[in-house]
Amino acid sequence: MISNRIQIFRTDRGLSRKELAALVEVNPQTVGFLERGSYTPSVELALQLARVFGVSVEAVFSLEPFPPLAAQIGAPASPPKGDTP
Amino acid sequence: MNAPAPSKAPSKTPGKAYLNFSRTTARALSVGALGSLSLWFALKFLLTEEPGPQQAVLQIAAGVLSLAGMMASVLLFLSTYSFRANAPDAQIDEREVTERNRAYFRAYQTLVFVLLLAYIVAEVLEKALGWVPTRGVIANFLTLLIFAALTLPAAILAWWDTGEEG
Repeated sequence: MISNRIQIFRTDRGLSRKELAALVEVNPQTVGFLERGSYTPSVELALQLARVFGVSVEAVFSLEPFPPLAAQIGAPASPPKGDTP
Repeated sequence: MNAPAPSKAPSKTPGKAYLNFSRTTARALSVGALGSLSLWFALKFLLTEEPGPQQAVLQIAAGVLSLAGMMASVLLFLSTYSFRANAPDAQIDEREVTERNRAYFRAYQTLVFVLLLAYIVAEVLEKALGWVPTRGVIANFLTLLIFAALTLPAAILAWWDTGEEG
């Protein structure tokens, strides 16, 4: 299973799924499949996506799950449900 | 950071010549096509050469079923699902190529299963009852198989479609 940050990068770049699909020449449905992790892209498509976002392919895809955004920016993790007074 | 401009316009959508049915319509057409033709094949067994009102009704029913099945098959064959099932690799994206290949493999498995089943049933009927399929029965069975082979890949894609938009 390959994890990806396609949705994060796409939102950050202000792109709709349709616009991103046009940039990498796939069906817009395929972008949805990629974002949900329902489809693992070929090396070529992964490299194209990384090029569109202007980052390395390792920044977009990983063999291990990406850590939560809160952990990456040093924010305390949200307490588990039921612990709040 | 701004995204780079597209190098060329994508060309991975079906042309206007294809009928853009919803997945529900395509599924209904697939059931109509394969169901009607299967019933037509079964009904043909009940028809005899003897004239009579019952035979006339069965003849009309068989005719209606074959017409309905063929029309549904043609409509499904003209749909965007058929485009995706039969498009060359260059006209669909890599996920669609994977799905198309899986659909064709499933269709192949289904047809081989039906052929094998028909062969076993024919052998058993011959051994047990001495019944040998006539030329007409074989011709009808081949018609059913040809239409099934034409429509199954598109039908499978319609049933696999999750309906999620981009």
